[in-house]
Amino acid sequence: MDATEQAARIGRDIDGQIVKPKRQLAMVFDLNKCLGCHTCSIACKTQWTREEGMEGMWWNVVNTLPGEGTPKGWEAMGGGFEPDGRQRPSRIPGKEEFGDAWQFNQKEVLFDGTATHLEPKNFKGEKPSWGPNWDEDQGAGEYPNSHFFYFPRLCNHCTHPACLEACPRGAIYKREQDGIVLIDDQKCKGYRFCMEACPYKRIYYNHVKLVSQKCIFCFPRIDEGVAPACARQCPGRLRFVGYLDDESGPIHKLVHQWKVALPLHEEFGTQPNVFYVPPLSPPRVTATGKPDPSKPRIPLEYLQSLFGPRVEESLGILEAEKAKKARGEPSELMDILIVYRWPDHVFPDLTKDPATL
Amino acid sequence: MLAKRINFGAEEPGDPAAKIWGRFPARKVALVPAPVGLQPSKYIQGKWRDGQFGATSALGLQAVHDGTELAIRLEWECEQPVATVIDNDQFADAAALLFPLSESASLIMGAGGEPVSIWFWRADRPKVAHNNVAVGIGTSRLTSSPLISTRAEHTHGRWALVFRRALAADAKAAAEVAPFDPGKAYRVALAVWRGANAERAGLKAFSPEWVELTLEA
Repeated sequence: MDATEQAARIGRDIDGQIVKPKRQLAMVFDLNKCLGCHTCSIACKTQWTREEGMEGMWWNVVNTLPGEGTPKGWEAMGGGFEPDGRQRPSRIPGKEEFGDAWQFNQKEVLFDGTATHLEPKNFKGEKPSWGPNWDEDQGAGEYPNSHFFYFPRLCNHCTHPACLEACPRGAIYKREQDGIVLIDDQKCKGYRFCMEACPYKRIYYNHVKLVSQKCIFCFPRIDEGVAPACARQCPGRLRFVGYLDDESGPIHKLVHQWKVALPLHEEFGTQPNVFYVPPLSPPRVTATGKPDPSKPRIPLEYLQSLFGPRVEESLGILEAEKAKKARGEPSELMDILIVYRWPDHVFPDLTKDPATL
Repeated sequence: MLAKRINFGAEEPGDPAAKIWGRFPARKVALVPAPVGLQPSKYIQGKWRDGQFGATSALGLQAVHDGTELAIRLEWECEQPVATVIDNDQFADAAALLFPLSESASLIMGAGGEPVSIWFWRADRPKVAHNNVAVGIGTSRLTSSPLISTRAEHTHGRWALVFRRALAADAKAAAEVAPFDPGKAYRVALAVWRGANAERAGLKAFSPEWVELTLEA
């Protein structure tokens, strides 16, 4: 087998074994620090999706949870793998479900004087009934137990990418050196099987270039030792980036050592490489107005529906380490999550300033 | 079947509704769904294992030439035409002709060392077909030449489509483009995609046997 053939096997299930890359880059998001400012999304948009045909693309998006997400209702669309390895059928999300870029009647209002109010129109020329963050800050629950948290999402650069397995042309590949999943737009013919198969629905279709497109983990920046734009620009400094096997780095420590960072919907079977430190929340308030410390405001069952059964243990570790720190005792975990020194402590291998390139 | 040699000057074979096409009987070519087992991804095999695609069962094939140009007309039933794609889950109707570029090339997208040339028309870019060369399933690659002009019409629940291409092919492009000579026999295979059924890539109806096409001397 030559090098090209070997490279084409990475990420595939070959006789029941997933062929792994040499190393895997991963991200960990500390949801306790995300303030929903969308700087990550804008950094990505500015860097990668400014061209015609990309108007509606948000390779990175920050949703409010509980909520419908982007595209609307994606968690119930299927895709990914069954426990026995079969691919689960799904469908292609529509532009309206993603929330396409709207057109506004600026000319009529600002120049022609034929209209007085700016009004958006969707790609069908209709008044929009959904957008990429239509239910932002809505959340769930009733006062005084209403709750929400912000939830950044992007391509998970999965260890077993359903998109890669679904493409009939071998146009999707996983890089040997770092496991970044990319779509070769020279090979892509816009069939969109990847959009169907991806259970996270993080692939968009470019109607101008007629190819599927998605997050590229800022690989040209990675190749120069620069962190992805979303992570570098994050004001909350909550987006850790690094190699999963780097035992001294924050990714390995949060995922494998402290076991507080969890994959989203692990049951989808693609082995995602984006992990989340789940959100702690204040106690629920009882009918008599008293806090009940035994019940978190964000229901545990809801977090379990996203992060699986390990989330309870993860929250317990976070609470215990937080308490240690509050008592003035040392806590390696809290020190990692606090990120005392930027950028060294948040993406230690990717600290180069892009302005110096 | 025979592609009659006629004088294009007085006729308009590029128009699928032109009278000239009424003068020659169409050869009915039977189509079958592409085998699910040949679909090159497990996802596609799994989702379409019940074979709910490729229902176009036949098309009409006609061809004429004038010594310098070949015109091939296809006609097939399509109750729900899709000619524009504005949403992500929409796919346009399509049709293709496949010509072998070597003696033993497989009509199932060719094979390594035995390429095929594919004239691919899609309803959302109606005026031109793309020439692709393929050496196996999942390998089709767009080539820069030759020009294959097309014109299509959808009326009474049927597509009628004419492909036109110069008979001669640039010798430098011999690996990618089939040349045609009057008096010689060629083989062609055909395929049709129903956009309304999300048919694309290998999800199609195709002719499981070559159709012989002889250009009248």
